Amino acid sequence: MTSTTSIFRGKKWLIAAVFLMILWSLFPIYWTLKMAFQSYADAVAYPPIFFPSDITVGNFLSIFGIEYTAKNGEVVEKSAHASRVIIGIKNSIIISSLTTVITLMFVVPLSYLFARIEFPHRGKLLFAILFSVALPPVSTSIPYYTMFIQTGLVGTKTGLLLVTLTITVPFITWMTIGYFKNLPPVEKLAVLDGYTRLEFFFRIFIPMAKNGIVVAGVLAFLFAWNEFTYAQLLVNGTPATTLSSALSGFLFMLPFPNQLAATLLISLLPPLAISFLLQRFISEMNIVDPIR
Amino acid sequence: MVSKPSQNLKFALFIIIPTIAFLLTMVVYPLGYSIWLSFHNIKQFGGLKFRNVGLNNYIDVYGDPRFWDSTWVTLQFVFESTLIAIITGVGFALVLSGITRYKLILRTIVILPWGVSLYATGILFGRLLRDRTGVLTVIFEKMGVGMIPELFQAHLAVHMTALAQAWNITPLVAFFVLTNIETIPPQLYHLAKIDKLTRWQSFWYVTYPQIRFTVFVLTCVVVIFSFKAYDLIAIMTNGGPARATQTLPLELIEVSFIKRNLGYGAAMSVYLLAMIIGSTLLLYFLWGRRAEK
Repeated sequence: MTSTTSIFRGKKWLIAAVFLMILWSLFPIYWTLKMAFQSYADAVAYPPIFFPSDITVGNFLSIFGIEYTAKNGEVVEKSAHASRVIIGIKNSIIISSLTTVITLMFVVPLSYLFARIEFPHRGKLLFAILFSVALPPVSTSIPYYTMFIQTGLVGTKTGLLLVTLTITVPFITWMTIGYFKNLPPVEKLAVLDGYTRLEFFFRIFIPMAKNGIVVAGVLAFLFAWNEFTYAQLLVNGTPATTLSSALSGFLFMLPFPNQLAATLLISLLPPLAISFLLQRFISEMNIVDPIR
Repeated sequence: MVSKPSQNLKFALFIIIPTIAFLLTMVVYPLGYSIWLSFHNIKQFGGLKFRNVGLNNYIDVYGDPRFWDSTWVTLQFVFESTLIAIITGVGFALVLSGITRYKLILRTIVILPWGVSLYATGILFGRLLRDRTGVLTVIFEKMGVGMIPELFQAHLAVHMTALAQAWNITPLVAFFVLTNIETIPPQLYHLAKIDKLTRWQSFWYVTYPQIRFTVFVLTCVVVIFSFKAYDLIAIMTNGGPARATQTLPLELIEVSFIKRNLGYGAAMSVYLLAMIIGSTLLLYFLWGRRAEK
């Protein structure tokens, strides 16, 4: 393809544009995360060091509560936040996995319905579900807080899970409808073969849609993993703390930028690892079709 | 499946009702509660005491200069982050659609910022731009300029937060626009060549009409996300310096949870929700309605 769609004149412009694009995407991540591999002295050095030369894994040991002796004999103590980081990682994995499973249980039938079945009031019902996407978390935070105090859900994983679902269910529904719509229309053939509605859904539709369902699950996981506002409000400082709220401890209490960066890097590993999968399949999702 | 729409209603309700029930308890009820709170004055002396004050909270918020300051900051933040995200997003989509080699690796690189959570984006950009830890400092130092650039001054900070928000959301725009660009029939570009359109003209007359509706939907999504942004700004500047980045969500949390003025905060949140819905409708009537065709 000779770049028919590109407005970039010639190869030189395209290369420059690609370079800028890479710089824009990677540099902000690099700038902070490089500190995860620096000693404390290097991380706080002024002016900041562009390319770290002394690389250490001490920060990772320290945030997991292990003391570490550097090559020069300097002892890196375990971080005061170590226990919170470990609990945070565990809780984040539990909450994000549960969110993924439950979101899919809600969303797959729902999107299937909106994408492939004609029924009265379809538009209105879809709008009612998508409307939740527009709600700012800060305006529901007060009611959640009072509701959760009354029901004893403050500081519990269940509470945070319920709140996270209010974000993932509408948004993931929105993203999967377009994908489900564009799958081949095999319903009529299935009827000829004598499939009932449920048989069709489980034995034909789900296997056919599995790529989209995997991506939907991955997105739900991402949302739950990255959730911060509610976690800060509902579980921060409790045994149900998530990794994101454990991270905030490094921000406000102890000025250890290298340990902050190491924790941040760990929190970014799952999202960065699945971004490969995402870029491959995200183009098949569609957030425009459901509204059109 | 292939039966009449009216017969499908029962099946549809069977599937929808659990979700609707969940959203009613977890979204509609809290929203209603929040609106109910906005008509009350709440005192916290060993348990909550509610006193109906009618529209007083709304009138007070309307007359509050801090509310209008925050509104102005919010609008600036939303406008700038949307503008940057849409321009870079569409730009990246054009670049990605134009390349033939290293496709996979480039797409993976471009999507990375989206995986970074908003609070992490706040941390990253805080360090990237802030005085002593910032990258500009190193560059100035290398060039021998004897000053520390301060990008978080009162009149600059809001642009920095908007830039960070845009960075995070650009991949979303880029990928959905890219998908759309790839569905444009190549024949249209051949015709454009025959008509001797310049590259810019061919973008404007061939590509843009095809991606217009997608860009509109994405603009709405970015606007909504930016209005809602709390964690990014809270971590990056915490509203400072001197309230220069105190957007409505931050003001709301401060009023409700620090000053414990729940009714007042609730009234403010209703204003915020109205702004979100209002700007989406405005976008639709000014732009979306025509773009749909």
